Amino acid sequence: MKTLPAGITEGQTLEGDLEVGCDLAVIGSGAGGAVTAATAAQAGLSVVLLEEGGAFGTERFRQREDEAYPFLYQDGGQRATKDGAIAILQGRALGGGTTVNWTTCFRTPDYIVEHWRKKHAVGGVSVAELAPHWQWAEERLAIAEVPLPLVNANNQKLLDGAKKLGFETALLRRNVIGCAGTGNCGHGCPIGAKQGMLNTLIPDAIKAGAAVLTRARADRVLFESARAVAVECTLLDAWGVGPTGLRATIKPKAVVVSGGAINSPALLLRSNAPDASGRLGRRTFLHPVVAIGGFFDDEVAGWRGPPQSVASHAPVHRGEEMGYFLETAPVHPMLAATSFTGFGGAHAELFVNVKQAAALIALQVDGLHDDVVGGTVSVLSSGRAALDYPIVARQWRGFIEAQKTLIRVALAAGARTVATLHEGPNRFSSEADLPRVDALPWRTGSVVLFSAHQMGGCMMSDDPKQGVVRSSDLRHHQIDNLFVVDGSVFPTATGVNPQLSIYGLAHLAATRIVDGLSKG
Amino acid sequence: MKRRGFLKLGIVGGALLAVAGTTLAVLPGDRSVRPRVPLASLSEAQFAVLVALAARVVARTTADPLSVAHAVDTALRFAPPEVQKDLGLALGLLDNALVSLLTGGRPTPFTMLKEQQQDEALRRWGDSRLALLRSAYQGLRKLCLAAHYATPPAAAALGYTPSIAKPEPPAITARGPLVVDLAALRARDAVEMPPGSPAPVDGGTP
Repeated sequence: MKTLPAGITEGQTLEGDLEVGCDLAVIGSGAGGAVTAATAAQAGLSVVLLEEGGAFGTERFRQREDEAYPFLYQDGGQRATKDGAIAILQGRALGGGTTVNWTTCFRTPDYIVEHWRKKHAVGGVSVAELAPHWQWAEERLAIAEVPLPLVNANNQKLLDGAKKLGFETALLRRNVIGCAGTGNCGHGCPIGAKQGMLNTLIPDAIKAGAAVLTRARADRVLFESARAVAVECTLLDAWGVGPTGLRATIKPKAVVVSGGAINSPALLLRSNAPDASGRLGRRTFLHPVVAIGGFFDDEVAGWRGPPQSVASHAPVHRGEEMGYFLETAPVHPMLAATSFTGFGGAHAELFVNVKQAAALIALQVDGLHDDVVGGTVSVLSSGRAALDYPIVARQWRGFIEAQKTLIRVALAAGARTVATLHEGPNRFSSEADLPRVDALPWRTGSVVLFSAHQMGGCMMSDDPKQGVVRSSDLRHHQIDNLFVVDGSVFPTATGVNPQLSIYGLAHLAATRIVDGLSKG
Repeated sequence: MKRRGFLKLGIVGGALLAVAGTTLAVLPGDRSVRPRVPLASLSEAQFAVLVALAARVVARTTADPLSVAHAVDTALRFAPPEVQKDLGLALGLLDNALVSLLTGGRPTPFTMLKEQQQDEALRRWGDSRLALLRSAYQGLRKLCLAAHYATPPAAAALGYTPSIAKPEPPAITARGPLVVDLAALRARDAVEMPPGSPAPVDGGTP
């Protein structure tokens, strides 16, 4: 058994099977995995960081959707819920989701952390305990409020409309240094301004001696007498599609699963990991999004500037009804073309004016109500992950309400006409039209829905009947040397864009994991 | 039977599937369109239906339906095999005369219909009571639109241009490295950075 050298080894270039020993194998290089790998390497542990995606760096990010989605997203950008109803934007690259996210940073809201404590027996991760770890991330990743001149016309429409309706709004905090507003956060930052894992914690980990193996798909974790003993990987070609025929086997002292929601539970399901809670793969949440295109007389060019710089959380607390918050989405040709409904002439006639369109989105906070239990991850016969996510009546009601709010905001901002993402007649030009929203086809396949935030599936709880991992250090309840560190441990949606929530929790957990492993 | 669960087929959906495989041979559609290069994901019959479908989805744009169909076939390689199979199956259903009849249309394969009738057939799927057909409609529609609008000329026609000029990195080969030799790249072609950009770092790849 040999060791891998510090630095990046690209799996597709290997010429033979690989068997490697180390202290810690970390599966996934996104917000959870990179933080854990760097923390462990800096503490002196030998670390192998495994990544299914490719080692694409800034020089390969060319502001092209036809390159970004196939190479930097799960399923080449085609991931969706099993019934196709919700399109799932989820990263798959070195740096994981942080390579393609839109850089928005929020600490986990107090009410969410409190809900986890009360409802899901989450202990040891209070706001007070998380605060220094959020602060660490904010400093390391240069998280700061967006300067006003960088707010693009798309976000200005949200700001104007929300203010006119009396909604509280805020400028967002972002993890960037020297952002020039190229608008390509979702395609890999072309100038290296984004302080994602690719530019920060992965280099930190390597500097501290970590080995990174890309294009290595973790097929399963092997267990012996209630301990994780190996991680078996298929090495993929440079396209990330076909196997090269070679395999990598990592034999670590402990395993950290950081594949993100959907992939982490799928890996543990493939591995036949014990699941005393019956919760493995369950309670997967998506912050499901309804959106509108608001068409203005002036140019919006929603592809320029930071994709997100303004938010309103005014409608987040709605008691028995679903809460939601308002943000924007970038309006790049491909992403927007697949969002607007219809085909042929009807589609082209609207879409030709896309330069005048603002895209406003409402993200629904799922998981806080008893009947909103989220989706269930399963493994297809090919081994790939699938997510079944039934949308319950309370959620449809929430979508309708959020849709009305979005239309009102766009109209208040001066939109000439607003298009919802439903098939059939879907244009609105005055508040008097709002009752028609109820009559839109609110059913799967008739309205385009999205998710850019995936959470849950390996939820944390100190009660082994409720959670897959315990909350204090995210250790698996039945396997002593197995940890899950990523967004899959959240017991509900976070109610905010989740990246900073993951950084903070990962850093807290990694510190405790390293402490535990060092002791023995 | 496993795949039935994937698209959540109801009883009627199951009946549709049962006839899908059997009638294609009885009432063959138009298969005169041939792929330009070997296909990555679809069969030639499925591809021919996709070309006809793409022609309607991207109608009134500058798109060439055959190019769109090839781009969709390539894109499908990245989807799970189960999804590839389902979309191929959906194309078969769309061109199946008996399915068309059962779902309120004419007993004619999609590829043999006139343009206006093809649009009606697509709208019927988009507005179907069967979630399966709506889902297939959305999946195929989105793939065709994505394939067209992701191309730089289509994006440019809408007024979209990349913010900065960047040098062309080496082409990707199946076993080749992805990490770019930055010194060579810089020597070949300068990167034009917009005002306010961070100082050039080592490309971001550690």
